[in-house]
Amino acid sequence: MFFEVKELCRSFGALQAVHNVSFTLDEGTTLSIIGPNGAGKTTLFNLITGVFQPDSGEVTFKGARVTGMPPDKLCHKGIARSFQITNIFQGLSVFENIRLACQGRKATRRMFSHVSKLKEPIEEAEKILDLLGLLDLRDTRAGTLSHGDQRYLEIGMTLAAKPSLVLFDEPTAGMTPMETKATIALINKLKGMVTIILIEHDINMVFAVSDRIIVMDQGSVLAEGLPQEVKANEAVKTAYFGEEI
Amino acid sequence: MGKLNSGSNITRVILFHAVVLAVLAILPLFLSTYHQKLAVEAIILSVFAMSLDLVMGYAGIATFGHAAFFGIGGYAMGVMLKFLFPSIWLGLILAGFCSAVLALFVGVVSIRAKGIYFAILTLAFAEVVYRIIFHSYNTPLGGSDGLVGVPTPMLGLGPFEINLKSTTNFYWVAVAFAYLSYLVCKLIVSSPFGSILSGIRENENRVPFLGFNVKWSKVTAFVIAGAFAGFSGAMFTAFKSYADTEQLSFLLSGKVIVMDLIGGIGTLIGPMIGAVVITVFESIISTHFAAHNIIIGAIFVAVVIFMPKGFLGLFAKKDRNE
Repeated sequence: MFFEVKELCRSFGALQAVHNVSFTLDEGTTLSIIGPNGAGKTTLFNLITGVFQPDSGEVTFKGARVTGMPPDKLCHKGIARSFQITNIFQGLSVFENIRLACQGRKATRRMFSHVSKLKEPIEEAEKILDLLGLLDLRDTRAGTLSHGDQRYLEIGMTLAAKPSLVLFDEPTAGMTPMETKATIALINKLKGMVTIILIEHDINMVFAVSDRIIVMDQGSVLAEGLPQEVKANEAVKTAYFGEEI
Repeated sequence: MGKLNSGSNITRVILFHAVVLAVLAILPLFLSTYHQKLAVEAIILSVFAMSLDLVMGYAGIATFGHAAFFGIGGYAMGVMLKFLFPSIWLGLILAGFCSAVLALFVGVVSIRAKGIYFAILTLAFAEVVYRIIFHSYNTPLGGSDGLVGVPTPMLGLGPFEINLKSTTNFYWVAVAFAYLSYLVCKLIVSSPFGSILSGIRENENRVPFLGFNVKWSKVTAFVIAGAFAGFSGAMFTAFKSYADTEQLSFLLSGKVIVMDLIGGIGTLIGPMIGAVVITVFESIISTHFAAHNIIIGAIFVAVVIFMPKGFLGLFAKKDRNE
């Protein structure tokens, strides 16, 4: 199995933020996790990516146990994530943000040569900027970008690690409809190249890009299946979409 | 076109360095011995201030105990010259080593704590070092009297020997020491490692997700900074012929922060200028006014309020996005 989460649990005090969550993921597929606010989606991401330690349960990636592994190690293994709240280096230029992200994937040879000699990361950073349409803003300070461009940069930094599994936490949060469209196109472009787990509130996007969908509610998995199955599920309708969709 | 530009930029930088070095080289010819001595002190302290910039300006880690590394370096040089072997080189090596080991210890123990908590831990460690040496009366370190009577050996430089008893000679050696230290630090901050430090300063929480170990990057920066503080402390002792607890004191830890902030952190050169300004200024007003620290404090407050990027910020190119 490419990626597997098994009976993952985590409580904060009396609150069971994530309770007995299990799922598996085939290589090259896209899985979306949806659910109302507070359903435990981001906490699940935090458990998978080593921000929090799970109370119990197991995460395996390419056959190896990676439960609770710190983020830098996970990054070297090929798991990268983006953040719901933009998490970039505000004071560095757009290019520096991406280059730094490209630089981290490889182990630390030539740590004390000049940065301009990092041929590979620099070339890759240029490619990613091109993919995101940020080349013109290359030397702009990241903190002064528009919200949408900061979100793109956030995605770019995640891709810079050349991961085989990407976790996107609400990539379109706060984006304009135009920007959301562009992001859907971008994720469709990535599909097949990488395996994706997506947390998203934009239902159109979820149905446009997902191979499978998990619905979470109050820390647990409420339903799981193909997009049309989830759409038809009665429990999901009540909990998440309301009575009608 | 781009290449041409960067080529002429490099020429300009080299020319600028050459002019600055030339001015510094001929400066002692116009100075009295008293002012030469002041200049040597200022130059040595500029390396100390620059070492703090590596952690404070680049990695964004506040530390309140940086003088501990300066002082330990000073004592290491004193012990080497007085009791072990009269060689400035060996003294420097011992000083760098001792300060780096101390920094490694303090770093590893304290690095879990962030922000002000880390700063307070460094303060506590520095105070412990200060107290231990302050009360070491019956040891060669001399307790609160300090380690006095440190001899000044010749400085061997290949086939040459430089007589460091001449203040002018020591001045030139200090300039060379500061310049080399600057080049090495510049290399460090322009390296991939330097970018990681900037990343940590800008957003520590994101850095691990890019595949970097934040803790060890911070400790490494702390150790490098500690070693450079040690080198400068060693030069200070070699110049002054003594090491005393003032070199370890909280007062100096505080003063070096002021130097860095006044000069402009995150620039390396800014803190060096800050160190020179503070040292010279202190010497001028202290001859006229006993409570000179009040004036320095007032200047510090004014700089922080009106020039948050320090003196160097006045000359920095305006960020075109701001």
